[in-house]
Amino acid sequence: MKHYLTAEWGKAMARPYYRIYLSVMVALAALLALTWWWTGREGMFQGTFGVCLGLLVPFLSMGLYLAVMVADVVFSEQHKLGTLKNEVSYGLPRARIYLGKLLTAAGAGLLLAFLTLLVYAVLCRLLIPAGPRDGAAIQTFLFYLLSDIPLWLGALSLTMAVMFNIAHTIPAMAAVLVPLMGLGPFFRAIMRLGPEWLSAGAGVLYRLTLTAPLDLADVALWDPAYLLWCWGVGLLWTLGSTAAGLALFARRDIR
Amino acid sequence: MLNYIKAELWKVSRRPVFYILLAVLAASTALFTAMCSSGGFSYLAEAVSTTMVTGFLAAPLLVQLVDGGGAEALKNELSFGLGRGTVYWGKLSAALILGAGVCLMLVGGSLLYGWLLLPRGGEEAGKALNLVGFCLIGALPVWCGLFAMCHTLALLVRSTAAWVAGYYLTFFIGQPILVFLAMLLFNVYEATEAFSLITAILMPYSLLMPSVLEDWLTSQYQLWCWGVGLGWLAAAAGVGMLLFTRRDVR
Repeated sequence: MKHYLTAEWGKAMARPYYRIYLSVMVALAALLALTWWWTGREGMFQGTFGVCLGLLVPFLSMGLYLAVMVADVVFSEQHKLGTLKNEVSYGLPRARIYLGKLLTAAGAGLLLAFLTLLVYAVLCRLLIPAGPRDGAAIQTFLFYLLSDIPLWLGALSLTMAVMFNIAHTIPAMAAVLVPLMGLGPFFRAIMRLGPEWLSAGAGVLYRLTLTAPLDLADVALWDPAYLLWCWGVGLLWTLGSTAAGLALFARRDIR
Repeated sequence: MLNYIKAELWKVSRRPVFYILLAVLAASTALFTAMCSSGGFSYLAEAVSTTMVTGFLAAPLLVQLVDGGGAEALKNELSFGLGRGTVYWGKLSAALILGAGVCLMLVGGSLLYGWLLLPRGGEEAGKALNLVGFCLIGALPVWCGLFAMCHTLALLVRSTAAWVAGYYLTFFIGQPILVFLAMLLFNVYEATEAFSLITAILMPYSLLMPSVLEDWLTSQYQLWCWGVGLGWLAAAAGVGMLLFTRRDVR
């Protein structure tokens, strides 16, 4: 497993894809920080360092969709290129292939998120003056970051499970993006329309979607119920999709 | 050129994925029609007129049906001697014809069902049909613009998952941010015409949203749709042709 992880990590890092992706994300983060600095100089934006971090919170929901691209960096359409067959016929256990790629993708994604956020935070810290109430704002940011990480991992595991099992890219993307974007609004619509028993059921299912915690606007700082909800939903999707994906992949005929 | 378009469409017709997508879309349309048919024909037609944004969501899928089918054969097409312009515009036209056909089938089928089987309210029915026609005419150029953008991305980005995810991500999250920044930097405020125009230019799909449509049933709305849609088409095709004619196709 250790060798497999090393090899996968090396492959992912060596691709221009990951480097381009990382540089685009870092450039966007830097651009946002510079926008605050520039508008602040003109007198339009009068926030402190903490406010800048707070403004980043809505952006954290992007991680769900960026995770799809991280999975693509590691998996890289191996069905289409026929390289998955080589790995399997070389004799590697399928569980090792699956979990190895999943772990590599999780690592690459977390590294990407960390570097992007680090560049943003450092630039904001250097360019924008600190304020007296920044401590709370930094804590709020860390709280949201901590609660969003399991949701990202859930989206990543879902993507991996689908990519391993659906060979064509477009059906695979539909199978990932429809649950990610569509399930939340779908259950919410049923909650409003349906009879009482149906709306209660839809309410429970809605709370289990990956986007539901992100829809909530106001959460008390370090609210344990919210953290538990995020981690529960995130780990449920992570473990569920990994178990299903692995079980299907173990039986799959690879051509 | 016509032969090329015909060949592209024939290739699509041989793909099983096309029929799966068609079945899913038809099933969703049937479900939608069944849910909206309680209020008679005019209610159904009004509901149909708010669904134009579906074209924005389906654009990458339909474009990829054409572009993804012969991704490995692109090199053969070029080395056979077809011009890059022919390849670009031929595939785009094939995708647009395909999209128009699918749209006609779904919208037409839904309306035909309502026209034949649901109670029609005389004058109201005509009004509702006018509304659908108005929305379709407005949506057409916007769809063309979005298709051209998807087509450009599909030809230039090697990884399909990257551009499809990027397309949805940019439109759902990136563009609202751009609008917000435009407001911040240029001191444009909401509920002004300038703000609506910036929104329409940066987020063309907002022209297809029902909330925008309600008080926008004017000729100005059509003008914006055609201007923004064809503008996106020109920009996407320009960038696409510029880069695709220089790309090394392997």
